Amino acid sequence: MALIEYLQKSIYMNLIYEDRYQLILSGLWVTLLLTVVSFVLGTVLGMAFCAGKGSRNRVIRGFSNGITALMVKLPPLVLLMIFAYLILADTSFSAEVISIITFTLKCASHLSEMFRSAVDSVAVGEIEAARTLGYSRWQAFFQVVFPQARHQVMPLYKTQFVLTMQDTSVVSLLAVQDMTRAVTVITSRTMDPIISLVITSVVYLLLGFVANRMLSLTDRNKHLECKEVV
Amino acid sequence: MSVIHIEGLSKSFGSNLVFQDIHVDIEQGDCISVIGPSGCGKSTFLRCINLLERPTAGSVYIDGQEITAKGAPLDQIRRKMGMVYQTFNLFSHKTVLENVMMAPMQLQGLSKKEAFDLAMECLTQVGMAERADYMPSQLSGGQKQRAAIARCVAMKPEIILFDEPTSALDPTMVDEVLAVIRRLVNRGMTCVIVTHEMNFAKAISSQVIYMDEKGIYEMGPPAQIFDAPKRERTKAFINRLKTFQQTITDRKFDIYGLNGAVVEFCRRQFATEKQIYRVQLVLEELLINIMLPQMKGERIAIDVTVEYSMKDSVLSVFAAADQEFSLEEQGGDDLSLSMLKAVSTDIVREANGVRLFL
Repeated sequence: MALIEYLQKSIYMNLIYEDRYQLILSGLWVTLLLTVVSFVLGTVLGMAFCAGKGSRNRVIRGFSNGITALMVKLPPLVLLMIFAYLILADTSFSAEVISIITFTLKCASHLSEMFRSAVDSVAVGEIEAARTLGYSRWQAFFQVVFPQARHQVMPLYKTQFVLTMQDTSVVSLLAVQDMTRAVTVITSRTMDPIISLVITSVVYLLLGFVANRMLSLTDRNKHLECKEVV
Repeated sequence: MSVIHIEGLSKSFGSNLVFQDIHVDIEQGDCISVIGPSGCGKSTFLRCINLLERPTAGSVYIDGQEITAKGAPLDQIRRKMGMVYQTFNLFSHKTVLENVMMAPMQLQGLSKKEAFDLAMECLTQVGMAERADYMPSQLSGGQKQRAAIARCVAMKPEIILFDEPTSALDPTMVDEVLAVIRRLVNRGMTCVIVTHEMNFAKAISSQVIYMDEKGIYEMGPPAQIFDAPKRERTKAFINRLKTFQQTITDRKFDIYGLNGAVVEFCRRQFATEKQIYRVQLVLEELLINIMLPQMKGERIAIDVTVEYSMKDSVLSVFAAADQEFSLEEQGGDDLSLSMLKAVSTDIVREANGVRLFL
């Protein structure tokens, strides 16, 4: 009985009193926004870095390798401070934009390494076979290399989404109200972290799970079978 | 007008010259085999024809169009020229059917139905129609190669370049692929084949190119190259193909390794299974039970030569030692000798050796 009473009180204090559930909801929205925007931009930029690493131009190759090495090796919190207090300190960018820039670059760097190894894993002979059939370089890339590399990279790619989501939890440093920040705020008021922590953990878990399922859908390979055509 | 006209073609990788100044004309319907020792640039030569390797100098004309020219429509010209690889190179993320349909649909604008009909026709030609829905990883080497040939034929090329099409295959699968190639050649396809299958090359080619010394060393009809080569190195190369030779200097030599090498040699010569079985038996009995026990001293030298005469399909084994030995006197154990007598058609003693015919 005492337990139920405690839970009721705790849920009330953590979620309902002063509409604190809204804090968590808006935190969820911010986390989602930062993660999805950084991940989508990071994917595009990651492809560019990946292309840069395979470039014949030494400057482009060196730049891509250098920047990704830096981004991969520094921890997210340090990177965020570097961008907020050093590189972008004199700009009028909001904390959210600075966070997105930071995580986009970090995510892109991790992804470019994954993309590179996936692209390299496609047999050179298959590319040559496509070229001798009369495919151009681009056609050969999109018809032969890309589908195989995409399939190859998918498990790592899904993991990177979750990692980016986790990285964004350090934005409370810049007073961005993400989900982690919401929990900190609520806990500081109620002095009772259990409920809000449990709820946030479950939400993070669900987010990761749903995102992974959605990404899996993009990797469905449908084959043409004889009986369909006949 | 030749289908392929090659003029002064040279290729080097850095300072390493592979071949230089090659001139060849290949006519419609020709089947050219390219043979030669490993590393003589046969494959590189083939890859230069369709510009997978850019030649250092010289020009290649396909149907009168210069493929080596700056800004030549490379992808268009390549569609006239299929290539079949040693490692098959099927697109591993596509089924056999998709592999064959892809290029005609995407590059020649065929509809799905047209491409399907064409693909099935090509797959039927190579006996792979049944396996159309398989993934490449589910196929044997020979089947993969036949699917690769179908993929190539579906583009209706005028020329097919074969880069050692059977080198990566199990001996049991070589024939199925060669049969498919033979059919293409018989139907008038212009082919250039880099191969180690000498009997195939001999039977099928209109011209044989022997590459050595950084270029075309000798070129001629198969009867000339294989039976009456004119130049020194060609003679030596052809001779090595027809005989197996090994010298045994150690008492503890590896009889099974030797037998394995001999079997491989005999297979290449198309000796019968019976002969292959017998040659192993002969070598083992003759060397281990008759000759070795009679050799004196630590240092021994036994020359083993196996030859196959294609004319009368007789396999002969010749073993000679630098010491005297006899077949008869072996301390009462005549079992080995009687076995030798049983499996050979004739046993001839020569100076300090013995020749057996199987």
